[in-house]
Parts: sequence; structure tokens; C-alpha cells
Amino acid sequence: MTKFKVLLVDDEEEFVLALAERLQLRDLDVSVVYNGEQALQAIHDDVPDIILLDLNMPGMDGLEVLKRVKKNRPQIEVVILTGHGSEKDAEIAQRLGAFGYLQKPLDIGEIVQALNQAYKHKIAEAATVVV
Amino acid sequence: MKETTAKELVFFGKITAGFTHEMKNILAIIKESSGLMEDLLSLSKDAPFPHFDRFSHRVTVIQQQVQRGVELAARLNRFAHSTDERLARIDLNDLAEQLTKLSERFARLKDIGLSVRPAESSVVLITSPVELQMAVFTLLESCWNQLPAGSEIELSVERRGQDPCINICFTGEIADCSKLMQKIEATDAIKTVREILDPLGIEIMQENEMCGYGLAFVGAKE
Repeated sequence: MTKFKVLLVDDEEEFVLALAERLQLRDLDVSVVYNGEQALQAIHDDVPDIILLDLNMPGMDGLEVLKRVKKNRPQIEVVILTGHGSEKDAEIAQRLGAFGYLQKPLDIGEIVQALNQAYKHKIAEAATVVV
Repeated sequence: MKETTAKELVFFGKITAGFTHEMKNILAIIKESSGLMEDLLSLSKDAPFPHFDRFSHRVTVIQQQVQRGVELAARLNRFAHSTDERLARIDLNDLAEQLTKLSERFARLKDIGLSVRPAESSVVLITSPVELQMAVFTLLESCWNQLPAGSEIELSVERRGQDPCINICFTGEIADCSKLMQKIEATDAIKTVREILDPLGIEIMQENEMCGYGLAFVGAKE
């Protein structure tokens, strides 16, 4: 599997740390932050290919993070992974440019598949721009 | 339903829905942690430690129970959200399935089996989700309290002409259906069921062709 960079953003530390370890075991380059402000800082310091983003977080929520990421770093693909979401949230996220919308809890295989698809989309988009 | 009762229900639903979200978060943590344990075990397969097999089995059990917990939390969340609106569009197939799942444990304690047979296509109408669920649950409860152990109750959904219907049909070692129905009809619960259903325009009738009840949503808006 191509090694690409994933930034995990979720305020549930134990969840996101366990997920990070599992993705690292599957050869992904993973970093973790626990809130929206940290996420926006992280994408300046070390630009990830994909962000796996929770919606319901204290402070800046996931939709606000999505909006700002798409404004400042549109090349980053964002996949929403939330335990709280609704159809309405899914529609808003899609409109704001999210690549995918997943509901927790999810099998690791499905998460990896979604990340792979997001990365392929990113590569395809980058190739289109170059052409 | 009184305005104050409706507000109280919305309050209960809101708090319950909030807690089911928290429960789902906890289950997600347990799922990922046990998944990580499974990953690490698979890396240790060639050099297993003492009690490897027992450890591995317990990880599988944790994952199975997490899945069970996730389904329960999803059902409870859905139930909690049924208080959001006084009236809502309901698919009777979904409602029958939801009620079967919500009632399973209670019926199992009476050694009664529950099953659902949905209609072939959606049967949608506008009604009070809370009152309808409460009426059907109370009806089911009054039935399984009288049925002999080992019996089965089937909820089925159909249209009779224009009217959507839910049927509640009993099978099993039922010696005398009419005597059973008399016992059920004598309970206070059945009076409560009729009191709830009547303002909703839902007729409840004893079925002659099967042992059980039919609920007909006469003139239902869709």
C-alpha cells in the first residue's frame, strides 16, 4: 500500500490513539491531534494528504475545520469519521468539500479503504491540475 | 397527548439520545482497542505467549459484544429520537422491526418468540410515533403475559384496501384461541391500548382468521 500521510482529528484520545496505532501497523504515516485548533496548526507545520476528522468536538467543530482546511489547503482530502452524524451533517460536509462521510464505529478495513480511495482521488485531482 | 406530556417526552428523548451518543463513543474506543489487540496478536502468531489462545478468544468475545452494544445503542438512539416530533412520517415496516427489537428481551423473559414480516413495499403514514409505539408495545405485552410459554408472536405489515395495517398473530400450543383472547381483553392494558389508539384514528380488532389482533390505520394521511 502506498505510504501516505494521515492526520487524525478527534477529541476522544483513547479512540484516536488506538486507531493511529492500527493504521501505523498498516504502514500509514499517521499523526494525531485532539481538537480543531490543533488540526489547523498541524496542516501548516506538516501538510497531510488526508485528514480523518471528527465532527463533534469542543471548541471549533469539525465542519468549521473542514471549511478552513478547504479554504487554506484545498489539496488535502478530508474524510469525516463521526459517531454523532445525521443525514443533514453528511449533506453539509459534502457541500463543504468532504471526500467521505463515515459513521463510528467502523471496521478498520473500511477505514483503510476509505483512506485509499481519498488518496487516489487526491492524486487524480493533482494530475488534472498539472494537465 | 397533553402539551406538558409532549414536552416531558421531548426532554427525556433529548437526554437519552445524548447518552446513547456517549455510549457509542465508548464502544468505538473498546472496538478500536480490541482491534489493536487483535492486530498485535496476529503479529505474535509465530511466537505465541502462554495462554495465547485464551487471550485471542477473549478478544473475539469483546468484539462480538461491542457489535451487540453498538446495535443496542443505535436502537435506543432511534427510540429516543421518536420523541422529537409530536407527529411524524413513519414507515410501518421500520416501526414493526424497531418494536420487535425493543420488545425482544421482555418477550424472551416470558419464553415467547417475536418475529416480524414486513410488507413488500414501504407503508408510510403520518401519526404519533411515541403513542403508536407505546400502544403496540402495551398490546404485545398484554399478549405475551397471557400466552403459554414457547408461543410465537409475529408482527406483520400490510395494506387492506387503502388502509395500512399491523397484524399481531399468535402461533404455538394454544388450546383455545377464543379463551385466550377473552383473557387478554379482560386486562387493563387492553383498555389503555384502545384509549391511545382511538384519538389516532387506529382501529383495533380481533382477527377471526388468525389468532391475534389487527390494527387498521383508517383514513391515514401519508
